[in-house]
Amino acid sequence: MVIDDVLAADDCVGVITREVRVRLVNISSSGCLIESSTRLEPGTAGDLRIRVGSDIYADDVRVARVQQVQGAGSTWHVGTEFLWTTQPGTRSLRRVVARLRQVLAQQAVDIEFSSRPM
Amino acid sequence: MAIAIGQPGRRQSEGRVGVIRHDAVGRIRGKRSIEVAMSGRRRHERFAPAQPWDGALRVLRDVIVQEDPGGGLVTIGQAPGVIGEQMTLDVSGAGHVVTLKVRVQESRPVILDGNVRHRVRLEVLERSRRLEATGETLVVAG
Repeated sequence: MVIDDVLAADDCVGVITREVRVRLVNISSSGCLIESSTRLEPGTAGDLRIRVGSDIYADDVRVARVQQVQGAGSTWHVGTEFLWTTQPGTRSLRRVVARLRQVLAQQAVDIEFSSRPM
Repeated sequence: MAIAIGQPGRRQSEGRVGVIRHDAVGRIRGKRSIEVAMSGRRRHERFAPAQPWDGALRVLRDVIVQEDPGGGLVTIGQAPGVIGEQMTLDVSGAGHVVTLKVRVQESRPVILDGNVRHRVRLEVLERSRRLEATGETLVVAG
């Protein structure tokens, strides 16, 4: 079967996938602030994949707001919110936030104990 | 404050993060942040990597696909194309999925049923084909 046959099918659907390079500026349990040289329209939904070290974490997000970074040429700050359409798996960005919070809490405990007089 | 996440033994620079503190109205008190103040809707603590983490946002859009008489393909959709940009086009039908790596050659607005759409001419770089996953049985009543 070639493309002509697929295009001629009565249930034919075309989907174009665009991959926009981004950098994660910050993250919270509700979403991420990402930076991009491409302007994304508010309301756009997509699959955000972020490399942390050698691991890739991903989640579905929706663009909530877009703001041009002043004095940085064509650079945009894109506020995204996580879409809770699936359970957060081990490679979910939502799990990264939980881990960060735990690391910070552990650090606070360590500091507390190390600063107590013996 | 900078902390490391990830597995032990990694280079410190790979997963370092800092915490941005912000006050009740959402103004960021970090010294080097270029982020502007927002409306104070934020309720959750935010974590900022000391070095930004790179990644990609994959955005999918449905398009009408036609064959271009001059070779290649033409799509008509809601978003314009950027000349030279490479994208992936999946065309599903009759139980098959054809995946094409394409490059935008031309993009221009057209009027379709009174709405502005974008006609994007694409050069096909690579193509692959597979059978569509059959997870469900379609039952037609009547």
